[in-house]
Amino acid sequence: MMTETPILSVRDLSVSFAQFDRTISAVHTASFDVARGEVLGIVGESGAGKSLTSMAIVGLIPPPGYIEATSITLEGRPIHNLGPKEIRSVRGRDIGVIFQDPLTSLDPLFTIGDQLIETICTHLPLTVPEARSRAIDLLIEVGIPAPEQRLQSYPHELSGGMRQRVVIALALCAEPKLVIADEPTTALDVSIQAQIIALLLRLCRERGMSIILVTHDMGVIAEAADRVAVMYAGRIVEVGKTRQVVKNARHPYTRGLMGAIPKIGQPRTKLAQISGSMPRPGTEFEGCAFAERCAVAEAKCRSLRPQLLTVDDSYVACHVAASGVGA
Amino acid sequence: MNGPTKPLLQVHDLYKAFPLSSGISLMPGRAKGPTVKAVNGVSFEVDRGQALSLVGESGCGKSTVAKLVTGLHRPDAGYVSINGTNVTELSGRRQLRPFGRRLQMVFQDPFASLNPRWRVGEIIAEPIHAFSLAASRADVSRRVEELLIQVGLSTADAGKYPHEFSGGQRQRISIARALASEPEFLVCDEPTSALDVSVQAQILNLLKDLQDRLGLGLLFISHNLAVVYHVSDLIGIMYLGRLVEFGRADEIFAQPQHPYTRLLLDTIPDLEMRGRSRAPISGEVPNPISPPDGCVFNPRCPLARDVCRTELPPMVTMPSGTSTACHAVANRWGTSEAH
Amino acid sequence: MTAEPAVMSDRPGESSRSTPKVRFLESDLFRSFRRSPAAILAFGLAIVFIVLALAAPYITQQNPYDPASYDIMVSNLPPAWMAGGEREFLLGTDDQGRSLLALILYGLRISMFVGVLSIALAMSFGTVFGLVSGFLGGWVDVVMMRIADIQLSFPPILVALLIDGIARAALPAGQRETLGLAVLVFAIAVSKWVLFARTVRSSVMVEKRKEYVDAARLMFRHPAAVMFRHILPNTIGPLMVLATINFAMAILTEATLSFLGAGVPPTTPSLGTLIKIGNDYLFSGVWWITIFPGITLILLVFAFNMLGDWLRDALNPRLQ
Repeated sequence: MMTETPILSVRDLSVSFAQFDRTISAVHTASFDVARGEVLGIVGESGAGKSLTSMAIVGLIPPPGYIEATSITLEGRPIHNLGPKEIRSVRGRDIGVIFQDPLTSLDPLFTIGDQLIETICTHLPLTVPEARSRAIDLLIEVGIPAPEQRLQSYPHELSGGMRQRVVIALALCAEPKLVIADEPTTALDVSIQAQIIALLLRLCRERGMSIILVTHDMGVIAEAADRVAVMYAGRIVEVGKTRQVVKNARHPYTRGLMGAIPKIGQPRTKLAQISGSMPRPGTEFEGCAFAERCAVAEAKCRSLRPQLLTVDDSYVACHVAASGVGA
Repeated sequence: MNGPTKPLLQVHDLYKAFPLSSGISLMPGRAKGPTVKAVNGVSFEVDRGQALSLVGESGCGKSTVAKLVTGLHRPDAGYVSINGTNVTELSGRRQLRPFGRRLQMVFQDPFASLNPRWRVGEIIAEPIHAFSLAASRADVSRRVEELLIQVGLSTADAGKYPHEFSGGQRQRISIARALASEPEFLVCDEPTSALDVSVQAQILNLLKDLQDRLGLGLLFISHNLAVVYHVSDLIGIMYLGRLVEFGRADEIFAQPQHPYTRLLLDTIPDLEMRGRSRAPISGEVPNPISPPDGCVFNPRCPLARDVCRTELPPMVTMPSGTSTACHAVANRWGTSEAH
Repeated sequence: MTAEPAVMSDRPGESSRSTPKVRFLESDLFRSFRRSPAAILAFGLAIVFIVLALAAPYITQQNPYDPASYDIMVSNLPPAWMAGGEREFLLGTDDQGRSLLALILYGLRISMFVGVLSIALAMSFGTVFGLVSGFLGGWVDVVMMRIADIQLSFPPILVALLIDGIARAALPAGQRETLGLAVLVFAIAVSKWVLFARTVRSSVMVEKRKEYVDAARLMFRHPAAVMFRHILPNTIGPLMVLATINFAMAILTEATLSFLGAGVPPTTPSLGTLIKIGNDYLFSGVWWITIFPGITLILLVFAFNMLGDWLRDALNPRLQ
């Protein structure tokens, strides 16, 4: 896969939720690597398990849920079996996290400055004045005008786009090597989305930082990601170079998804569509979870679960693609 | 009806402002507080079988226009007319009911738009009862079954509750309810923004299909130009409560005139991966409480000149038939003829 | 191969659930009930109390309302297991020779009767009040909610005492006894309706902004139909929680009023009256007249409070 050691390596990560009388497994044995300076996209529809996968890495799975993994290593150091206290220090110092809704990451009762300075002081051995000047540097870096004044602002005084910039600044406080961005642009207007993506990419380039970009939007992936993992019903069904996946997907689901996205310039006839909808988490399958909706499904797709196999330069979990018929 | 020359839906110079303080002042009739001008002089016409899409970012007033058209809000000024009848002048349920039957709506949130305590069959039958469209109970249930099949659900679904369905299926139920009164015009307020991409395509195809088959007029509200590309005959681009560009969809997609339209088109990600470089436009939508002087888009506009900061550009119709409210575009065409 | 064109269905074969009974057994509410020992215990206790109250005449032969059925000669007998106790009077007797067990069973009846009736009254009035206030909004809402605020600023016991006092002064002596219960129910209802009104109003404020209400408005349904057929069913959840918890509170208020002598007349003893009667004898060593009704009251209130608490958690989507 990668020649040098990846910054993050995840092997067989599963997330399950204990229910009243059964266990719902929301993510099944996901494995992937993130290389230094790489933007890895994780894309999928709601309920596909993409957010859970990324949150599991930093131990942010709410109580009835639990994580199992063969290994999760950050620069070779295992982090999947850390206690709550240790994982909290990994999160923030080594891995920054950006959530969809900036308001969940910002405390409405404290100023932007308070929150930035506190986070900096928690993770770095700096005095308050040093932290303050660092906070100003960070705000400049994420493109916030008049940073000195902004330090005095409360979150509600900022627009959605500005808030998301502050959240990004918060995630950068301790110079993390990896940032997990969970739907960072979904709550924003289209023109602001482009700004935030451009900002993330610039930071990634300038700081040599890696990003896991979780989104439902193939457009965002096409813009920003170097590689992309496509998730469906809790499993990774395809991993490959973004260009490869976007332009020449192997998995029938990815193809259907790409076809279903309205594109300007096509003949204005019917949109291609995938019938049906994704099974709810907890639905058990003998074979491929997509077989029900798949146009090229064969008999064995319903009985045998496909494994993630190399097809050309991608990894695809599909019997048909693997046998070369669907290509 | 008033003859074929009258457009199915005509919206004339609508204005709507909302008070900022939602509370009630203790002194009725006292000086009104600040307001947000949500809709600022919007006019358009849509004919039978035509689909108009209003597109813009959040806060541009597109959803308010939808609610003004359906009568959920009353305009401060201007009027809405259906088949030549000014429905804004009408009042009282008895006068409005016949027009209500002809104009129905599909809502944005598939979870909030269906009463969770009602069975699907009851939900779809409600307009049939409300507008007295069926003679007997058997007629009602036959019509409900017909509608369920029309939107791609099965007749057995009538006995279920909304929570048993996925978002896409609920949106189908919502469409079936809107069609139950046999409307001539359907207002769809971001009907797919809460849905996943693969389901979005199903709903867009269904709407397009129904529109063709039933000859419906359609008002489609969206924040995404690509989403409306497949369903629109006409496009209106809104910014801060005003239409900044209006015209035939193929013209606007081929030759966008207004800088804001171009910006919106530019924000659509490049899935062909041609490596088109996107210059993300700077700035954000200004606060609608105190919009900028002149052209409302001037603070973000790459073409803005002095005149843009002082004078509101009028709607100018170009030879292609597209109308644009932009000084720079009007200058280029060397015309100042008002719309 | 990108898609199957024009396939309209997006349903993976869903199991069809049919009967309401099956639906209840599969519901989240029932599942959460099955998983909560506290809820099962509380529910069991509540059922026991309801059965005891309804079946009182069949459990005990003695009717404490009928002076012919008891004998002052056996007054202040201790419980059966103590020295001097008699088997016939399991929990002992009171100062007039009435069986304490019979008294408690009949007292339970009165207490629960007053509780049910007063909560039903408070809930119906409060619900309609809150529904109208929240739905109409504007000035109607302001005026109606100020009325509710004023009501709320009086302590409930004080309101009940006040009404009881007025009723006593206004009614002729003969009717006081017969109307005593009605006054009690009314007094408790008056002190409770605001809670229901406020809860319903806040639910209505949320519900009326939802799109399904807009959809009903587009059909030009009568506002009353929108209010009662669309909005009201969606406010039932919080109402049930409030009713259960306040049923327990109403029983307590009844007991308090009766203890203070403002409630039911001593000839028709409720749990509160019994505790009051027993209170006079407590220091002469006759503890059972107070203690047994007291324990009954505590268990009764406990059961319904627990039930209400569980219901609130189970119906709260944020806690699931």
